Amino acid sequence: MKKILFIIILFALSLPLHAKEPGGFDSDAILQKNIKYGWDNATNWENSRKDLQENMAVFKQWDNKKQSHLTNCLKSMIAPGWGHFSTGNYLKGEILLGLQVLLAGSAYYFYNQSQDYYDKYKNAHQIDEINQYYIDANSSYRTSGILVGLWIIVWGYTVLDTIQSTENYNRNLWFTLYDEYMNGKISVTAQGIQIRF
Amino acid sequence: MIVRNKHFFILILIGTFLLSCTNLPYKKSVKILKEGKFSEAVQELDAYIETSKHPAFKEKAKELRSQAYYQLGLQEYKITNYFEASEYFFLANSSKADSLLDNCYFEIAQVALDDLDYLKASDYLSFIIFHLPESEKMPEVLYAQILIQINYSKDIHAAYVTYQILQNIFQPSNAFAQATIIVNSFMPLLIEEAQVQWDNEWYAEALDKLFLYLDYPADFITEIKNMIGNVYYTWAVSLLHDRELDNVQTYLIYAEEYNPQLADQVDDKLIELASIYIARGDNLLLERDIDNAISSYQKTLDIIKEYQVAYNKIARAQEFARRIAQAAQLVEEGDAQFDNAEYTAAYDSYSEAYKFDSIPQIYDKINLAYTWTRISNDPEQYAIEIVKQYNDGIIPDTIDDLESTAQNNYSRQDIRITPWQVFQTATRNSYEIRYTIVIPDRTYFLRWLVRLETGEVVPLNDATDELLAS
Repeated sequence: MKKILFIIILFALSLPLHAKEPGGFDSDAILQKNIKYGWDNATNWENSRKDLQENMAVFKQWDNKKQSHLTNCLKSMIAPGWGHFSTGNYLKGEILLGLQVLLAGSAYYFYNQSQDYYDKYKNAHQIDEINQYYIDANSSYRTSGILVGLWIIVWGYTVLDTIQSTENYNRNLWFTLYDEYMNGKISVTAQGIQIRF
Repeated sequence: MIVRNKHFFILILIGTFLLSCTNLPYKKSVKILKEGKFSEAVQELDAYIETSKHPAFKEKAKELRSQAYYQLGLQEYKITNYFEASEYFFLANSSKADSLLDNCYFEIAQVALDDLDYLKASDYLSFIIFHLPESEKMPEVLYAQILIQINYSKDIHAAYVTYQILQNIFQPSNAFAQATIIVNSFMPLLIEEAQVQWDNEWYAEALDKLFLYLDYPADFITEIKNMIGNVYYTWAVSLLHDRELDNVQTYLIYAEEYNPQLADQVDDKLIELASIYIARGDNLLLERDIDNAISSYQKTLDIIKEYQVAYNKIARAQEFARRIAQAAQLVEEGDAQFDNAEYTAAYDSYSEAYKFDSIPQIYDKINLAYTWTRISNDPEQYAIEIVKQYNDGIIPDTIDDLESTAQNNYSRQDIRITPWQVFQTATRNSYEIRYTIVIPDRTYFLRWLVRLETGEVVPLNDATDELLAS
């Protein structure tokens, strides 16, 4: 209260105080010696501080609400797409999850098939059948291996992409919180527009 | 499977590495800052802020940069290197830095003052006053500003404004006490300015100044109060002279309040004011503006308690109002009677009303009622009376002269007179009056038309006209 009173009095009295000084005292004059960050006058200097204070208030909220890259990566390691779901990137999460399920399922299918051919190969008595089952078992086993490899690649990609997804989420979170903060300062009422400082 | 597990492990390692690589420049800057390499940290953070696209960490980096600047400033401050310290604190641009920035600027200003570099000193002090209002150095800053305004600017008004700030916010301070001594030295000049305005009859302006000085009086309370009383008294007398009475009493009361020595003069003027209100009330009463007249009388009671003259005047005005109301009521009754052709009753009512309120309007109504009473009761006799009274009785006088002349010249038997004859005409309430004188050499056949409602008399022949003209 005392500060507000003081500022009001200063404001009210500032004009005559300056107008009557023949030397033209200018508090901004001392800033001209040290221009940096565009602070060549006190208004810019004060506005910059005000902006930073506001942004720090937003940062505090952001810091509490932002998501951890590590946590989301662990989620994606445990359950493919979980990390993406956490960041709200559902489509990508679903695609990557579906792809991994398809690849893992297919790999498992071909692995079982190769085991079947291998069993038949062991039980076969004719040379043609032996050769054929051997070729089929090997083929299925290779396909299974390729699919496992692909699954690993997609899994790895999913984990790595979770980092970018989390980064995007956090960036968007900042802008959302910033807008909320600024909109909270301005309210439109029947009496007009109010700005809360 | 061993190979596959190995690949899996490598992938996890790569992922962890990438994770640790996010926001690397920021992390590096923070690390440098924590190591106490503040200059280097400022450079790193500047570079990061310049290039980073991460909005949140960019802002955080600005805060960290502010901390780095603060630490740099603190290092300089500790070795009393105030100028460099002030630059760092300024760049820190935080409340924490402000708490030392004001000290730096104050010290710089003090040095400038010692060097008689008032302009430079004032620049720094002004910055504290206007941009670092929470400075604990404020009383000293304001005092120093007053010194500059007195010694350099030679502007006692600006100094006085600064003194007002000092008194409003920091009265119990050593700086205020010192400033009061300075203000006392130029207070007579300020009072003299008010005196000039007073002399020029700019009373309101003079009082504005004096009341301002009264709020921040230094040691001149009595002088200022006396002058306020005197200005109010002079103003009141001036208004009294111009008969602008609305504020006179208030100003006279203020005059006595601020300068009790004026008590006798104020009393005299109050009595004069009361007598003016009485005279004004009398005039209003003459104009039959009774409410305002009473209001004017009552104003004197505000000035002089239990003022018997005012009470009497008010009673008289109220009685006058009562009589007017009574007369109005009687006139109303008379009008109703007149409308009903009760002319005699109307005449009585109007006459009674005239006793209460003798105004020409009622008098005219009495005449009208009388006329119609006569018209209705004995119109013929009334017509003759009108002719006889016409123009102060010129007609009977002329006839008398005529008869006298005839009697002198002729014998009684030769003269024949037919006196007043009345004939009704075709026009309503109009009568013809005749008077005939016959003598040997001439016959005077005199005729007039009389309109009873208007009392108009018109000669009806040349003989009549000539006779009256002669």
